Amino acid sequence: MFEIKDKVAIVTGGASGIGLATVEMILAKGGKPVIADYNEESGKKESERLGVPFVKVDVSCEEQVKNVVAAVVDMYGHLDIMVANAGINPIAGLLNLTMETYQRAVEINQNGVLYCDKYAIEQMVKQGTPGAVVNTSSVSGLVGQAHELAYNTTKFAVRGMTKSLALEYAPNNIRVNSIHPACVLSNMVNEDVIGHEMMQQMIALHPISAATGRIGLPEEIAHGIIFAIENTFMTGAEVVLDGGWTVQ
Amino acid sequence: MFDINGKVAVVTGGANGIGLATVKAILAKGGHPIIADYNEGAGKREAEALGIPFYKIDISDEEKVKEMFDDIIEKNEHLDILVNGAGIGGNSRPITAPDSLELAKKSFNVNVHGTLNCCKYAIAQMQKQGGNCAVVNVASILGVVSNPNSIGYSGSKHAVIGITKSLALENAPQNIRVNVLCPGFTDTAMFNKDLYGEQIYNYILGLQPLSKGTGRAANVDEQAHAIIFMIENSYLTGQSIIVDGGYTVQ
Ligand SMILES: NC(=O)c1ccc[n+]([C@@H]2O[C@H](COP(=O)([O-])OP(=O)(O)OC[C@H]3O[C@@H](n4cnc5c(N)ncnc54)[C@H](O)[C@@H]3O)[C@@H](O)[C@H]2O)c1
Ligand SMILES: NC(=O)c1ccc[n+]([C@@H]2O[C@H](COP(=O)([O-])OP(=O)(O)OC[C@H]3O[C@@H](n4cnc5c(N)ncnc54)[C@H](O)[C@@H]3O)[C@@H](O)[C@H]2O)c1
Repeated sequence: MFEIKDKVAIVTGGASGIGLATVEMILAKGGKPVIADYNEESGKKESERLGVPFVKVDVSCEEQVKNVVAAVVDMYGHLDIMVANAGINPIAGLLNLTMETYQRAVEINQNGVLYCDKYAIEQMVKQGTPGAVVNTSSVSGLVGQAHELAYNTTKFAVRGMTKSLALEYAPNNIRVNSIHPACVLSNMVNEDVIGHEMMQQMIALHPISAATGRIGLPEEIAHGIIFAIENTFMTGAEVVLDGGWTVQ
Repeated sequence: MFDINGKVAVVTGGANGIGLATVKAILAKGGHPIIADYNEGAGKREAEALGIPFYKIDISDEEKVKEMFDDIIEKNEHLDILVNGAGIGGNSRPITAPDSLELAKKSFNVNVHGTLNCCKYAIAQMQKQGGNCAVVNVASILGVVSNPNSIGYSGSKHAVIGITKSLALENAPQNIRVNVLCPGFTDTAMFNKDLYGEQIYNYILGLQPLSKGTGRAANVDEQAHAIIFMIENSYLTGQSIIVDGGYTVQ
């Protein structure tokens, strides 16, 4: 097993939702997580609450990502885990999706993950130590969804780059896997924001929800991310946490 | 999360390899594993060493499987986890070979019908007690991709994945989650250097990208780790977890 204890981990999007739950689990396992997020307010708040470092970064900016990796290596001397998790979901179909919105999704969801993987892997190779990279894709990286053109496109890209990097860095014992959540409770996805009816529709998409009456929880996705970090023989794989959605 | 502590788990193929590693991992989490295997020597020895029950069973015999579950349920009152680890490899022939179908049937009898027999009687009990249970089947990378001359093994392992998906959808309303592990080449009685010879063994390792980084095949603890993950994750159902060092990614 890849022991998380004492390992240094950067978690992008770590100020909220799935990323924050992952930060908490890494911490509980004795690891050293760093919250990397462009939301300064919640980033600082969570960082103080948990006693872990926060670095402000917009993952769509290559220079900033490079600097974050350098800063973390300065802080701890090494980097062992990258959770490239920051992402956005601009809901729009072909004819109402502006090119600007589309580009922004590509910059954050696709290029952002690429930059994080690039500078983390570069550092891991330099260290000559085993490493774990986990990229957050989505069920939208596995199946199509109407009116989620930019999201579908970028989340498929994340799945593809995961496999290419897994093969390229297997000889270095750096594992790269992707996580594919379906709907998960978050600041953006909850009954207060989307309303009761919409939430019921969302719940109905997941076979397991017939029993649980809810969508996924950030902790359930973080549990999958931890598994992908820890399992020393899994690489290039997809961990699909969707309550059975894509099985139908 | 689904807490393994205090849960009763039947592990077929639990006398050896991946099954035995899973038995130990469940025990370490405070669960109550039961070894079900047709290898009496290893089964008894391991069960005694761990202080847990052993049932001698050929999973392809439906009548005996039913009797076994009846007895387990009578003694334990509940059954929360089933791990279908028992399986057989080999039996590889081109389809035109005289004994090809006979051998393929052997694989299907254990890998498919054996898995179905155990699912049937375990899930019946899980439904009766109100669900919230976990089933993990074990297929293979050859359930995802294939090889020449593998109608029996690869065919049967593809079937295990299909069965997993259907059972997952069928039992989701009872919160009985059904998932499947697809191991890559893992050092066990079924795959090892002595059995295959050094040259073929090393050739096969060369097909597994991560073996270039680790210098080895997967080990049983890495496969058991994935089985434990599938048991514990309360949002996971119908899925294949592929622990193959990148074999199927290429
Ligand atoms: N919530 C869901 O239903 C769901 C489903 C599938 C996949 N996902 C994916 O999971 C990941 C995490 O989402 P979440 O549900 O936790 O949502 P969230 O909105 O709670 O968290 C996302 C975090 O990412 C940060 N972020 C966004 N853009 C950034 C950027 N350019 N640079 C740095 N930080 C940035 C945000 O500030 C926020 O803290 C995303 O990639 C998302 O696409 C979420
Ligand atoms: N080892 C690998 O490289 C590998 C790769 C992919 C898949 N698998 C699968 O993993 C599973 C576990 O195999 P393993 O690698 O631990 O091998 P193993 O041979 O060490 O263990 C298999 C166990 O199943 C038992 N068994 C076989 N047929 C049975 C039957 N009819 N009834 C009851 N018990 C029976 C055996 O006695 C043995 O204890 C199998 O389903 C196998 O197909 C293994």
